[in-house]
Amino acid sequence: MTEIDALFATARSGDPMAFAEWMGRVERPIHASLVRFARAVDIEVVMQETFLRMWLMATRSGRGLQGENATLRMALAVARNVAREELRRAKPGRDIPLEGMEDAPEFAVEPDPGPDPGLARAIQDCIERIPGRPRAALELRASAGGARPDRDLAGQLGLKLNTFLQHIVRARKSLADCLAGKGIELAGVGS
Amino acid sequence: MDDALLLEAAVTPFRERDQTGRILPSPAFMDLPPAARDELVARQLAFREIERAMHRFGWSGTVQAVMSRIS
Repeated sequence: MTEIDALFATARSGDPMAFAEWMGRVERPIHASLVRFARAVDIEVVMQETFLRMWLMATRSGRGLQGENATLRMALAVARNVAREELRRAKPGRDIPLEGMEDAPEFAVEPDPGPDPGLARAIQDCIERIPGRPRAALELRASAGGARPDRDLAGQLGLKLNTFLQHIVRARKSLADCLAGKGIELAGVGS
Repeated sequence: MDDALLLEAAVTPFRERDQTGRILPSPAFMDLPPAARDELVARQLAFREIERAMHRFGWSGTVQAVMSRIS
């Protein structure tokens, strides 16, 4: 049994911490598999719905999964189905070619090797160097863990939503510059 | 809101739910032009990495959002 399948097996006993660790190990490959849908569906919706369905499968279904990285392969299939459901809900328009999306070729997706402590330390160090409000905005949003909308977070800092978002954009750019100074290029952080 | 701020607004892992519990797309995502949605993917990945770096267990915002629903 692979490491990720062992984590999922532990989650089957109702252990949410093992499930969280499993999610962390399959999150990037699932996200990568959904890029072809990115113009038509909100991938964050697909990710969260996929994980909720996998949790139900882990805790309420006795269905066994066979083969190497079976839980990742199942999660990829669930994500594809959720994306198709979202595609059907999406309103075509704005020149989004929905037809080709489902037919795009599948590609091999490997499990994630796991956390990168060096990258995490570099990010933490660079965040500490971001000045004032941009740092506060970035830290508040990152620590909110998807539990609160940006409008609430902005209000907590006494900012309007647009100003809050502008501070995050500035913080990202500072972070990107700092990481570049350490020889680290994190795609998307500074664009 | 211009595209740069719409992009940033769509990066958050926070998503509203409807009365049935269905997770709803970000309003900012719905307003983004298709080309900007490609850029959004990279920005989301980068922000998930920032969230992992700042969380004591290394959880991304997506993982945290799901954990808040199941635990």
